[in-house]
Amino acid sequence: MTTVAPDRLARIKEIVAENIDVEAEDLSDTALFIDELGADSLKLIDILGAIEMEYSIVIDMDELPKMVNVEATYQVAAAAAGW
Amino acid sequence: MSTAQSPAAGDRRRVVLTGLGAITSIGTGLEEFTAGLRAGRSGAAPITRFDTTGFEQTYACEVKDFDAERWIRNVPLDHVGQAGQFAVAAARMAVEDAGLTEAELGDTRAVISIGTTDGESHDLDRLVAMDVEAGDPEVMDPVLAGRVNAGRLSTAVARELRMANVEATTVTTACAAGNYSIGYGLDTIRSGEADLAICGGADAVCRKAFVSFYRLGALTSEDRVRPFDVNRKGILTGEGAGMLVLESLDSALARGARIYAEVLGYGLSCDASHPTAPNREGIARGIELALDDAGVKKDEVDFISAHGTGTKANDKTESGAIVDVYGSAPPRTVALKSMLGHSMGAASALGAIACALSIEHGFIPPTINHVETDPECPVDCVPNESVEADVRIVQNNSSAFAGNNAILILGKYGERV
Amino acid sequence: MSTAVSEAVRETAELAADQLVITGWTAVSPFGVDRAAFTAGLRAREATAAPADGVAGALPSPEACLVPGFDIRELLGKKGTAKLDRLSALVMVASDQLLRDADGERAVETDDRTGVVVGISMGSLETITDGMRQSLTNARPFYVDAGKIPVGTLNHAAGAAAIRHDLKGPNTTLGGGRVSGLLALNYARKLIGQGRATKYLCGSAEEFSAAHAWLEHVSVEQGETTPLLGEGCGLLLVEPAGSAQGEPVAAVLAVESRIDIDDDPAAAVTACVEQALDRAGVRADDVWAACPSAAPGRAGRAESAAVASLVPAAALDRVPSMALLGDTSAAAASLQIAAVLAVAEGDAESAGRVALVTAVDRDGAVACAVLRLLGATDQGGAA
Repeated sequence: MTTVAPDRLARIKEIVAENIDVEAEDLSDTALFIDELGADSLKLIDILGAIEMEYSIVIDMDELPKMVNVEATYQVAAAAAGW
Repeated sequence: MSTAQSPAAGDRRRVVLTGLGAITSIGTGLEEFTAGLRAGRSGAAPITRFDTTGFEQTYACEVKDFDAERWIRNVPLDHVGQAGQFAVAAARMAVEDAGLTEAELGDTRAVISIGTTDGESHDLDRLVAMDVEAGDPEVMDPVLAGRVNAGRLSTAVARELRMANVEATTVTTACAAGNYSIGYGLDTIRSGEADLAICGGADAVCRKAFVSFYRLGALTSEDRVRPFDVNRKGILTGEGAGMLVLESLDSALARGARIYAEVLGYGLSCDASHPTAPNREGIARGIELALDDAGVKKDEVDFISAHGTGTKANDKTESGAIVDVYGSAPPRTVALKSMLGHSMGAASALGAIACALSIEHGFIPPTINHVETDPECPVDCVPNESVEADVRIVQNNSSAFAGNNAILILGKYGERV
Repeated sequence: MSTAVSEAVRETAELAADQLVITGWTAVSPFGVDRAAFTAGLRAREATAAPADGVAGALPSPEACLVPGFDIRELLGKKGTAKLDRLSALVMVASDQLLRDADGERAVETDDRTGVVVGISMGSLETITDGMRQSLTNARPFYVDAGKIPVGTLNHAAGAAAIRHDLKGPNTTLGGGRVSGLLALNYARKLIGQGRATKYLCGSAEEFSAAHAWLEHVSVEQGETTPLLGEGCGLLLVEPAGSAQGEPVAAVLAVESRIDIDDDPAAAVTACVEQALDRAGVRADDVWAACPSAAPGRAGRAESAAVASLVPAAALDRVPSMALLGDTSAAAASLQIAAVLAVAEGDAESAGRVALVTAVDRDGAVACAVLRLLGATDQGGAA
């Protein structure tokens, strides 16, 4: 686990919020995308792609199942970006 | 359920296939296509249509030996793009195979219906590239810009065959569009409004489709497609055209035409649930509707040509639907996309042609690149080697984004009187 | 034709059980977002061209005929609409209007054999070309908006309407440009006739975008001017008279199409109309209202001339010219049918009369429909 950079976490939260139709301020770091927020795999790909574009990184599609909430998504992005 | 308007099956006009035209990544023309299906050829090769710089995947199933001028006589070659050329050429091939001359086609009332996923999106790709490069949309090529609408696929076939008295319809129901088109021809002939329909599907490899499936994680990272395999990773994009001449049985018999197969029926269902995810219930309902329309019992089906894309989601869901309908020992279920890649709107049209050829020649084509069947896909996919078989009734599956399923049933002519 | 026959044509009481009838219609159009606005604008013969200020991207010409006040989030809600394309939104809004009452409650019964068929040109060109542009200009070629990919599929609009209203019958999208609305009507007619569906939402749609405008602009025929483009969606509810739940406003007597293979659109339109009238069992002299597509360019002019030479002069003036809406491309034919129905509802004389709708597409397709108007008035109209 990398140390969380607050600005990046906030931005990732924004990206998630945009893609699953919730307000960023209502989104906790641990709320489950699929089980609690009604997202589906297409939405997860949307989030993955948007994060890739935001940070000019490439995230392996096999990481998708790990992106269960904001916190875990941050870790996936961090690993791909080498933060 | 409210009153059906459908004529009783026994009173319906019968419809048969009398001509086929196939342009595929494993061979152009019926002889080559049949040989490819029997041998289990793979159409996969490095992409030549567009620049793949920046992608990990660089393979697709492109048509390699296409000579448009050999088939297209009446419309200027630049009247259509690559998909249209495939469609027109395959239509020409199919009417020649049916033994129909332009003079005979003449003012005949007919339907021309052609399915496509992307139409001339390769032209759109090129147009956008022109705009991006120049920074000015004014530089876009007027010839390309004028031919991008999907409707042209079917009107171009009418022009090429000099058929004015036709309803030309391009069915843009994505990856199920081929079966939709054949179904429309069937319904038209059954209704008595025409004796002839020229139906099928066409698509060309394009950057748009490639990028889309890549981004969605549906494109395999390998150089091959492995439907139903436990290690399947996704699709390769493909291309081609399959066109079929549908004719009323009366018309076919009257002119002594060769009959490949009878079009027994089809079914259309809409999942109404998700824009991309396949839906087990929706597919199963489509199969049931098709069997019912065809008047075919489940134990009569000799094999199923699956949608079988090679993605995790499709193959598992489709196998599930097949088991839901047929029980734990379903008919052999093969995936032509292991050989052809996903030829999009052409896919189920080529599937229908492969089914007709399997009836004609007595074999079941294989699912190639198969190592280990996924327990979640409990079907006999005829791994790697085609098998000789007396094929009488075949089911041809297709599904599309937007939750559209189209299932076609073909039978050996003369088996069911 | 004798007076006696004309009187017979007015007879509407008896419809065969399998006669396809239109029992509902709506139009999202440059006249406004709903049917009432369409009817009012049409009857007032309002021009709809206006500066296309809100449209993303530079345009080849400043004006267009846009659906005024078409705010996707306002009309369809915030949920799930962030990536929605304008084309699908037009169809979804129209489907809401057709199936729901003023309170948003379901007003039309549907089941797993309710079909949807939508005519288009090339889908949401904006969505498709935006994705292509992203692929070419972003840092990596797969940096494209994933959520827009399903939306850029040509059959998305029809599927989205089905998802919205749980319509599980045959769901089909037809590419045919200006004739696609008539191809859709014929498709619905045949599939209902074969028992595949009990009723259909049937129509066609086009979105305006810079991408569409530029493609039209650069490919305009020599000697022609860049067309004034419109957009919209016409949507009908059709079902067999015998099982119709709504009040029939028109009977679909015939739908015909053919292809102009000799670059003689007037001859193709004439042949098509004659065939349709023949199939409908009516004469050209019986046509009470005719509505050609008023498509820009040679084909559209030939179409208008051909229709004018066939039907009584009075029939040509009853429906205001579709040129008011601009070239609505794939939406055209469905909006024409809507226009005929809107005019009929305001004129008690329409009961039992015959209407003719024709269309030509630049790809060579021509099509027409012959309707019998059934005398529904503003007070008694369905949907």
